[in-house]
Amino acid sequence: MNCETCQIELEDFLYGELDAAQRASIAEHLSVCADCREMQATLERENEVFAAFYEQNALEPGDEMWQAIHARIQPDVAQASVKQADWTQKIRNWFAPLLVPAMLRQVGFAALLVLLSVGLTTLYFSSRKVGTNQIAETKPTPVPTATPTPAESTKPATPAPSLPAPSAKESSKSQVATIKTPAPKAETKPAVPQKLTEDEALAQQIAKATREYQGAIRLLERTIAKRKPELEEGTIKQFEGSLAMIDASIAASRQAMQAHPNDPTAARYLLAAYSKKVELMQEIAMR
Amino acid sequence: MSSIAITLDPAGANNRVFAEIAPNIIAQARNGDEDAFHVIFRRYGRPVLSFLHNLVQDRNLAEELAQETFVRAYRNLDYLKDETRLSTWLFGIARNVAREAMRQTIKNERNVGLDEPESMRLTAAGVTPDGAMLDRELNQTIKEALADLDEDKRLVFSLKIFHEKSYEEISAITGHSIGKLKTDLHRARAEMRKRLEPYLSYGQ
Repeated sequence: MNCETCQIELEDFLYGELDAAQRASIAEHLSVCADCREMQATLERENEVFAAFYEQNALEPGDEMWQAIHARIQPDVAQASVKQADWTQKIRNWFAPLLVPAMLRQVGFAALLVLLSVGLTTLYFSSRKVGTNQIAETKPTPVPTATPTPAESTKPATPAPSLPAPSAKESSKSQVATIKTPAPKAETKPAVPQKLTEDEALAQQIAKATREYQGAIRLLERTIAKRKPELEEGTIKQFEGSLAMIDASIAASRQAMQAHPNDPTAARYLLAAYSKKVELMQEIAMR
Repeated sequence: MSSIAITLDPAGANNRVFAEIAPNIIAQARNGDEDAFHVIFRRYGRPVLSFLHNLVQDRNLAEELAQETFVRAYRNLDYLKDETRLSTWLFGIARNVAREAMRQTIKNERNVGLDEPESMRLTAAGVTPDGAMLDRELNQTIKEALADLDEDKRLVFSLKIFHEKSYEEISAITGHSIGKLKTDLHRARAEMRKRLEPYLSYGQ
């Protein structure tokens, strides 16, 4: 490589736009050519100055800019939420004759969503349990796992205490979970070829159940907001305190899910917390 | 000034996030979740606004154009095919918005008989640097040198040097061939170098 070619390609070399062979060729030339090294130093110095200039002069959009954008996109947001609500509206229409009082209709629909999600989750967990049992049955001598999960045989209905510091409160929540979402047997592991698919399916199932709980919670939030003026201040305070505790459990469960993505226990905690939240909100909404 | 007139609301709290945008955030924004779109705005507001400021050299106009960019982005999120190219897509919208505004400004100035060849001029209402990282004179020289680059050179210079986009991304944003981009960038750097030479020599 000569100096002319090197200096033409030097900029792209510094931008990381060259392939390995070109980079090697430039590097080789630079190692023996002082003039080109000087050019490289100049370009690098310029880049530093331009970077400093950008950092010093880059504009930060203020919150007022977001407020202006928010005001302009508001009609689009409203339209999108109408579209989104279309399918829920259809289901509501089917069940409308059964849920006559306006206030109860929302609450009833929230309960229906929960029922659906819990039903799906139960079905899924049950089928998963059956599947894994079948696998176990075909093996005359069960293979011990390298990292055994805490034994559940004595307490089949209690989630395995492998979450970060499960408290007494969480234990009580876990009971809610086990009533509504039977726990998968943690001691049996799915067969290796099925593992990925099954984990993905489980993640989808959890995400779906979570969405449905969240949908129910949104409906209940609206109902409670309407009812709030009629409720006693003490009741509201108590409700909000309990809600904050449940929300903290939800956050902790999410963290645990992220930390242990392959452990369904964390997901059960999450669904249990959502279930508790919906129960509490229903209680307030129907009070 | 600009054909786009937007009223600004009072300022409020301003918390920023710098994480990359996860595809599910984009999906949520597409479904009309305004909070998800706010995350996108908080992540890309600064680079988009700064890019527009590089192009039009006028802070107020850049802010108006940034608003327009994000409003258009929100309304057209369904057309974003590749979610990993959100940044490139936003810069592309910003570039189009800036072009339209510049054309309109030129037209308006011709109508009132102004004899300015370029609407993009350095204004007294430009940015005031907060820190003293760069010598004030050098800072001003870079601003002036940038303003003196022609539109195509300024565009590629900003995207490559300030926003570190690849040629492929810049080509997607501008519609220019990579060959043209390389030539424009090389020339832009040479023009900038001439202006910066005295300062860079002092620094050595």
